[in-house]
Amino acid sequence: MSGHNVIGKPLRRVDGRAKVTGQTRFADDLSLPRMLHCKILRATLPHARIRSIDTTSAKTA
Amino acid sequence: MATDLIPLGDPALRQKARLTLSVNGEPRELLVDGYKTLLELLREELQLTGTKHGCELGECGACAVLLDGQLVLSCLVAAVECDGRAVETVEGMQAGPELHPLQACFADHGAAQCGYCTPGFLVAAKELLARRPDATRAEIAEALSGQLCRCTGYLQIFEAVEAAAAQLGTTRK
Repeated sequence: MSGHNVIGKPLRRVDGRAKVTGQTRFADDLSLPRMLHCKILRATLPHARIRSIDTTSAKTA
Repeated sequence: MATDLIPLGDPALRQKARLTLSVNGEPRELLVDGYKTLLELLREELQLTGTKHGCELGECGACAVLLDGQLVLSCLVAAVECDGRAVETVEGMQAGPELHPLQACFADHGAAQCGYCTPGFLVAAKELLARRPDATRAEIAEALSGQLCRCTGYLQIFEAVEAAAAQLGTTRK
């Protein structure tokens, strides 16, 4: 086994440093120009038919 | 009709507040909306996204930071409460290019898998070792009990904290 450089040796993962310094970018950490945001509006009734959605307050936000 | 958790209609929350605080040792002055949390201040105003947005209910520990050296969950702290105070996040742990022993040991022991909970664990462990430099395994488990990890498991994390404590102990002596 002495001939191996990697097998049998503990190694830092390639992105280990980024993960312990807070530099890893997760989806929620991205900020892009002209990015849109969404919010989930949940139905208040189960198995109901959606006839219309009032988007006025969303559009003014 | 669902009620908002944050009553945004409240004019006091709509007002901006001027805050002066220290973030990772740097003095910062900023204007923040009254409804924002410390977590939102760090992530949205200062782009310090190392502190994570997990449950927003104080259950997961992903948003943990140090406020005047005390461990707090930044999702439960109002930004306006932090005027004149000192905040430390994962971004403040390094000394230049040099990783903090906790960061190096987490990387070496495979204590970070997906990495989402890692900043919270690091900050909580730092607070523990500042208070208890030779913490036992049981004390480490207790101090980190507010941090949830859903992939690595806790063993590697405990081992990393023990290794860092040993390193910090030898550099102090």
